[in-house]
Amino acid sequence: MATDKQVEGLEQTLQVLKKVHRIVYDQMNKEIKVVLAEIRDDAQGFAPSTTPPGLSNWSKQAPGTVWERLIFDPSAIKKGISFKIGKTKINQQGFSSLYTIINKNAAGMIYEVAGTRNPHGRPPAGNHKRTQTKKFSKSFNEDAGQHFIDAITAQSVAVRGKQGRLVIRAGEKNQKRARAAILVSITKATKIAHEKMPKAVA
Amino acid sequence: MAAEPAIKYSVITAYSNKGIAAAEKGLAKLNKSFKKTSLARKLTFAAMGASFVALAKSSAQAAIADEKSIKVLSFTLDNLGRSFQKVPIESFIDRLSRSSGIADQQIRPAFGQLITVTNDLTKSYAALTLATDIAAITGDDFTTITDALSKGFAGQTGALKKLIPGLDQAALKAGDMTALMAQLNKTFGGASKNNITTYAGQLAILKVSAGKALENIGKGLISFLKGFTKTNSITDLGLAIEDLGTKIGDIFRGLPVYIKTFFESTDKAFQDSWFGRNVLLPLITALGKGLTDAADAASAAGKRIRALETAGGWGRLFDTTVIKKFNKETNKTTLAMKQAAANAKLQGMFDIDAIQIAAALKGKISELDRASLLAMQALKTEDKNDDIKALDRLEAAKIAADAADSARKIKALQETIRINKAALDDWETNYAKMLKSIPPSLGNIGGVTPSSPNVPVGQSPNYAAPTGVAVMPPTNTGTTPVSMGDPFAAARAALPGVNFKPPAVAVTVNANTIADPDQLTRLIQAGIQAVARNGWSSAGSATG
Repeated sequence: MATDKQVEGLEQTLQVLKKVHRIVYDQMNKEIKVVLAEIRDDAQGFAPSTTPPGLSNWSKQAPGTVWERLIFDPSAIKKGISFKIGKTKINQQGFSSLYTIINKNAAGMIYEVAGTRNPHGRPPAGNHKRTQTKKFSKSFNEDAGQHFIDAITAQSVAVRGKQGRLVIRAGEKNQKRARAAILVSITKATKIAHEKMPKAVA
Repeated sequence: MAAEPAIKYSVITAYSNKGIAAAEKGLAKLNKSFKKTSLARKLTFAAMGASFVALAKSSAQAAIADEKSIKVLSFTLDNLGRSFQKVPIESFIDRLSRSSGIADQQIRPAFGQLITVTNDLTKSYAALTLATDIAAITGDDFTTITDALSKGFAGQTGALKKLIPGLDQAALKAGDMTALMAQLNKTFGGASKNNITTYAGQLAILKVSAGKALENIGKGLISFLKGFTKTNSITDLGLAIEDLGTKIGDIFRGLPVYIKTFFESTDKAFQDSWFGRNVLLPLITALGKGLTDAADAASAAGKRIRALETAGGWGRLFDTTVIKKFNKETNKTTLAMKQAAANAKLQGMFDIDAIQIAAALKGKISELDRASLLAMQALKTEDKNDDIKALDRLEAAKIAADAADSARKIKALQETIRINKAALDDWETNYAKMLKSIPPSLGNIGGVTPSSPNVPVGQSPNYAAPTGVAVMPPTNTGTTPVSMGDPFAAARAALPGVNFKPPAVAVTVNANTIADPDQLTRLIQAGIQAVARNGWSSAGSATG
């Protein structure tokens, strides 16, 4: 029995639609892409154009260092935000995503979720820097984590509960409208495909 | 290849119960087949009995351990002169246990240790709370943390330093627990409260509640068994539990026989008595039905709740109104599409024309044939748009085919013309060569010089072997000719007045003077007739 919270048969509908009428299916995806692009654009709008105040060195990592991968590059962060149409792998709970907004830039990911797990930053490791665990901060500055999170928080707005500043924030902002629009597109496409199906001869 | 790390926000999430449904189906099937055998039934009852014994044992053990920890703490408090504070302390431990998800049996000894060292209720409470916070963040064992804190209060900060790196060195050296506690509170304070909102935290709290339930069961069981076995010794009680468990197991093992015997012996009495027939049997039936219905309803509700919880846990829920509408619409549309597809498929199965068209379309055919077949296929559907498209396609294909045909014909014609022209050129070339090779003089006509020394017997003296090149063999070399009889015999008979063998005919063309033109004419006529009559070659006539 389908609950009100689940879209039962959506995946099957899309599969049938793809098989029965590829043109209508592609047209539907074009419409959905417009909706997803709006969320992506919103998320890119939330991405900062400058480094958070007080964290200017984040964008000045020397090439070849271990931190180069995490360098703060506003254009790369914006470029790293995209969307995807297509089913993802089913997780252990039986859920999979059909339409996804993705943030894949390393600095963008840090900016997105900084402070969600440890609101005051990780506890300092002090002189025990050789520890392999990530539970502790290895910085000599005990307040480094707090300073980092405060700087990002001052520049951005995080969605409460979801704890995200870019794609999660944009997704939460547009979710209701986007889902309704996507479902309308799918419904419309299924109806068109149905009309185009060969009818039984009486 | 590992997936690239990314933060993903799902706009629409699909739920698939494929794996879960398959597992449930498999279990149901297994259960069904398992229940079919009487041996399995016995095993089931035996397992139930064993489970009951295990439950009884574990619950009793939990209750015993709980009682033990209470007694130990009580003893400590008595020694410290804090007997009057037992109730609020127990209440605090209970609250802390429920809020942090740490078992009270773990908290009590820790509290006992702290109160012994500090002899200060506030400090002990604070240290215990802090220990739950530290455990929530670092994941270290609660007992280890409280042990380190206790040692810290006793002046030994080594364990604390080792456990939590980054603490103030001066405070550690001085053993200043007030400063250390403040620093720890700043770092870890409130973590436990946040942690309980997580799934793991809630699970831990549930575990605590389950543990308490087990303890309560155990307490009840111990109370019952104490009365039943009339013993106060825990060892004796344990043995009594095991004995009772075995007996209960035996009862379960023999339960089918018990029930069968009971109903067999009472069935007749039930049927005979008005009370049994009208009250007891309907009551038992109704009870059975009620239990089954309730179990089904509870199972379905549990499933729904589980699904809701799972969906809610992921926080990707949908607007109820839209979803309801969409579910209804989608199911309806999908069903209709499936029906229409099935109908079309069935029709296709039994429609020979459709089959032939479909088969022909799969083969290698021309564009025109394909368009024609598609048009035929379109005619079989009700959709008029298909017809229009098919007609357009067919007309376009026809135009293309006509154009291709015309082009082919023009090309063939051009080829023919080219070949003919080449042949004509070739002929003209040969003709020019031939003209060049002919000498500009009249030769001997057959019969003028009747024979030549090179002519074999029986062959015309004017015969020339075909050489491909028009070269006249020498026919008048002045040697004695070979006698071949009189070739002019017939002519001579027909024209007695004519001399067919003149000694010489003088012909001088350049001067335009002929000695006897009539004789020459006759001679030529006779020669031609002889050639025609005998079938001789006239090559010599042309070449001389």
